[in-house]
Amino acid sequence: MKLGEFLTEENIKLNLASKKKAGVIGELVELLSVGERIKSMLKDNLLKREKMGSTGVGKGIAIPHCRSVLVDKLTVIIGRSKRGIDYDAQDGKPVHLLFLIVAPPQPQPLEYLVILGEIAKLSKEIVKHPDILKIDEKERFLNVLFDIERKLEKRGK
Amino acid sequence: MHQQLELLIMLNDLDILVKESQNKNMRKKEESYGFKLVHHSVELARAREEIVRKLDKNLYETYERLMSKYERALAPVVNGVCYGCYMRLPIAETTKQNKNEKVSTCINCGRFLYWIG
Repeated sequence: MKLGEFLTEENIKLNLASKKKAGVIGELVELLSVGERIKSMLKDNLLKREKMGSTGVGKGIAIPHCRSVLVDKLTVIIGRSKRGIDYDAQDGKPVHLLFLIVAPPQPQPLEYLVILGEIAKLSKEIVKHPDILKIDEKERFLNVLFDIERKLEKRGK
Repeated sequence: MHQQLELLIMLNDLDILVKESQNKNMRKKEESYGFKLVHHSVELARAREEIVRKLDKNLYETYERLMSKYERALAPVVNGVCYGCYMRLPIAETTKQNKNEKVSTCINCGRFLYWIG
């Protein structure tokens, strides 16, 4: 999986305004290319997933995710908050970087899990690059992200 | 979108979420990525009750029957194909306008349909 297959500048919001979980998930869902009612249902679905356990995996990263019949392709949206979000993360710390994933039920769940795993792996590497929290241009932000991904691949992780 | 179809989608997505979180292999995978999952959520159980309360009784019975037969009771339709059984749906169905404004089922597998695009 290459993040470049899923990410463009349109899928990024570098200055999230909300300070709370529901608010930021709403902001990220707004970037999806679907109708308003679908956005609202997807937001509801993502928040339900959070009830199964926070997707704030620690070290300032959260990966809200869900699968729904409402979408026909896997989409990744990235959000960032310099100030930090009260996300009920596992380590109790504020979340600064979010990778939101929405995917259709098909293909098999395993493929979705592989992508989820790749992003989880990438996010662990990103925390070693705190500069990513300071970048203000989407293009540069994406390039740094792809660079981290390439390095990760080279190391065979 | 038809209100009952919305409820069916919400119910199906919720049931799959809970079912997958209880699946040993999927749970193990998610936990290996750093996610922690609870075994039961009272809030989600309540959310389900609320959806079922609003859902037409006959539709709910059909939904339950489909869920006991298949992994999902509802399938998306992409390019005229039911993504539950992968059969092409009749042109008479695919050319209709406002297809999500009513609750429809696949003539082959019987799953409820959500038309994408």
